[in-house]
Amino acid sequence: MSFEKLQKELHEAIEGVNRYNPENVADLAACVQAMVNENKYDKDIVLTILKLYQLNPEKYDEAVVRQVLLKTLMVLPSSDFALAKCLIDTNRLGSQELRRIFDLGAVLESCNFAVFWKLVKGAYKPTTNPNEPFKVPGEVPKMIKPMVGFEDAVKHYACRVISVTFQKIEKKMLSRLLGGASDKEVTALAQSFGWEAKENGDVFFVANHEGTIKTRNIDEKIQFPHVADLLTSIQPPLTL
Amino acid sequence: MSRRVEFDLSTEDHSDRRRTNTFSSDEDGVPNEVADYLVYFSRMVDEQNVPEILTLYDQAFPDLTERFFRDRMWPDENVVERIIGPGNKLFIILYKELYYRQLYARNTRGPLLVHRYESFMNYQELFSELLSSKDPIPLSLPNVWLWDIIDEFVYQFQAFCLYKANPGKRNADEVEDLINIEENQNAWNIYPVLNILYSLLSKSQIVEQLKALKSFQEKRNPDSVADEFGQSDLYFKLGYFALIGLLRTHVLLGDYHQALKTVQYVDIDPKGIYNTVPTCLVTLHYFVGFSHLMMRNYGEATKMFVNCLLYIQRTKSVQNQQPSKKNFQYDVIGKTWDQLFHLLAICLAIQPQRIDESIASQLSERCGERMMHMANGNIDEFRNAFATGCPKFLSPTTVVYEGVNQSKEPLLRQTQSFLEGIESQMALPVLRGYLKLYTTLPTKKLASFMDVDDEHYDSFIGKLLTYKMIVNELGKEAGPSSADDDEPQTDIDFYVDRDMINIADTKVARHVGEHFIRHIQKLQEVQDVLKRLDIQKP
Repeated sequence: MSFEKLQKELHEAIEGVNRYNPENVADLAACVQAMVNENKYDKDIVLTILKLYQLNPEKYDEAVVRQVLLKTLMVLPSSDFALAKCLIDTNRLGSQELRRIFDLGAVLESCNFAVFWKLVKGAYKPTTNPNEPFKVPGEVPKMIKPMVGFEDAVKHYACRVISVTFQKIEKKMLSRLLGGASDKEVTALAQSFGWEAKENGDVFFVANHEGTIKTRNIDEKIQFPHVADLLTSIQPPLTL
Repeated sequence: MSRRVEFDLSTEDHSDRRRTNTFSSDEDGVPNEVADYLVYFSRMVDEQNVPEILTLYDQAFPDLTERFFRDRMWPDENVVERIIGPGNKLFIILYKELYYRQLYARNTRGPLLVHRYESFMNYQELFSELLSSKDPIPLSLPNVWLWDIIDEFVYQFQAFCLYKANPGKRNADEVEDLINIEENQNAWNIYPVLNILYSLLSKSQIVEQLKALKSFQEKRNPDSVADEFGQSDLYFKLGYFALIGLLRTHVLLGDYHQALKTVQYVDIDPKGIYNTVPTCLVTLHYFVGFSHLMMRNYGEATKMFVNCLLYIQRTKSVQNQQPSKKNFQYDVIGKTWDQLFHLLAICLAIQPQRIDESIASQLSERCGERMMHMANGNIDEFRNAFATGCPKFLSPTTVVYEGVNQSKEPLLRQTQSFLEGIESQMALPVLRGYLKLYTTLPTKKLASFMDVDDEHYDSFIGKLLTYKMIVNELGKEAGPSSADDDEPQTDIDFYVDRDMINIADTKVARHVGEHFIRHIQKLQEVQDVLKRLDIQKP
């Protein structure tokens, strides 16, 4: 069934207390699969299925949980990923695949696009540090491949953050943050975000932050009514 | 100093059991005064005399507990039934609720399994009376009692989950009973608990009514969406408090989004019903603020926490004047007061904001050093602050029959999740420290300050991006922002122009004028007092 139909049916099924009806698990899992295939997303459905897994441990299905987590990463900067993590019990966290997703999430949440693209393009060199999270970097692109539109979502996220941070950004840096995107792709994204190309297309003018972000001095404002009472009631100093 | 409550028994005929000496023990070991109290109480409940009920519940009950029942429990239900006569089923259920509350409060190790089970059965009876009757039940109870019922219900559920996961809390013969209960899933299971709370919501149609109240454009009368149950005061209030009870349950299970959704129609304003019960207000603010904190809405969380702290501060002086009433009840407000400060410290460490002066000064007294460590990127301080400030999470499905105490697992999980999020945001306080020192700064220079070499330069840019992302609250479902245009949200803001960081600092000037005015007024008051004193000239 298509995502649209599943979504509509499920929204009715998870009203009120029926949200916790364990019979819904199968339909919810099917919907998650549809989300993966059709590049759609529904926050409610995703959180509901995690909740049901929490309350009915015998129905737990790690594959679905993995899909859910990767979908929440696609809607960054929303905090859905953080919410999802809170709903997974400790005893589930032993699996390596889940660990890998968490580490990838940490990379994306700290806007570390450089590392992200290196992982995806296979150019990542794991350090010899014992805390190295990506010992087998090849697994990451494999994990992401079934999720339709994952890379585009990350590029979109990057652009949003860039919009609020930069006033002008060099094309080279922009392209690096977008994973070595081609000129054409960069221009297309820039247009969709309303950025102007300046200086022969070497620099993009993102937004005029100069107007909004400037040093302010908040001075104290004393209004007359505050001191009016004082002025009318001034008494001579006390003499003994 | 406790107030003795006078009971008016002149009209009721129980004279055959009355004796002149009120301190001699009656049959079944129940002092006469207590018996009179119970009879009077049940009559007041019948007559729906709410102000009297409030006095009896709030003051007389703790008073009598203090005087007669310090070392032993209140009389058993059968005794009470004999005293007040048959046909008072509802009162007996309410009495039992108070009875079990006492049990829970007295035993430091927690009550026995059999008591927990019986208490749950009592709650089921109470709620089924309320929910399955064809017409609204003619019962009126004071708000504080209604809230206490819901609050205690959630609390006992929490206690049971923690009990299940901790083998240390029970003795050997309880294990078999526990296995039995778990198999039949008939006591304190998450589903019946949720069912009861949701049923209260749907019976009173509280959500629809609150929605109607909120949509003031249409001026819809809530009565138009509610049937007789919804219009009854009792059910409306129970539904309202059940919303807050659900909020708490969701947070304890780690479902913050659902928690906030549950109370989205509860208006945070001084006219709301929650204002009538102090513990309710504190609970509401604490859990809503905590949910925002976990969802990284630090601005909202700070607002909630500060409001709550101000309220507690204002009412603390009032509460200290009244006699300590609830000697057996957990000091919710006192504990939450402490927790709020720790959580507020976390919020402000990541996203500093201007807050009320009095709270700010208390905060720096209690947590000043900790906040400094947090600002320097010390993760352990975050962990400690979080561990003190967070509620006691629970897992509804963990049952441990023997072995290690697993009741702390959910807490660890949430802490872990929280800290993992903090690590991504760790850059903020550190960056802020550097940015404060400059008005413009090349990115390469900042990178070298932070010991970032060329290879990791792009990752470093990521840190700048994270800072802006959090500060601008990207992706948050922001509520209507206050029209405070000259008071920006953060103290340090910046933007990057090619490779130059331009920093904007917000300085707030010292309010010298205000300080002087305040002191001039004080001096004048002192002078007035002095003038009125009789000073004898030598």
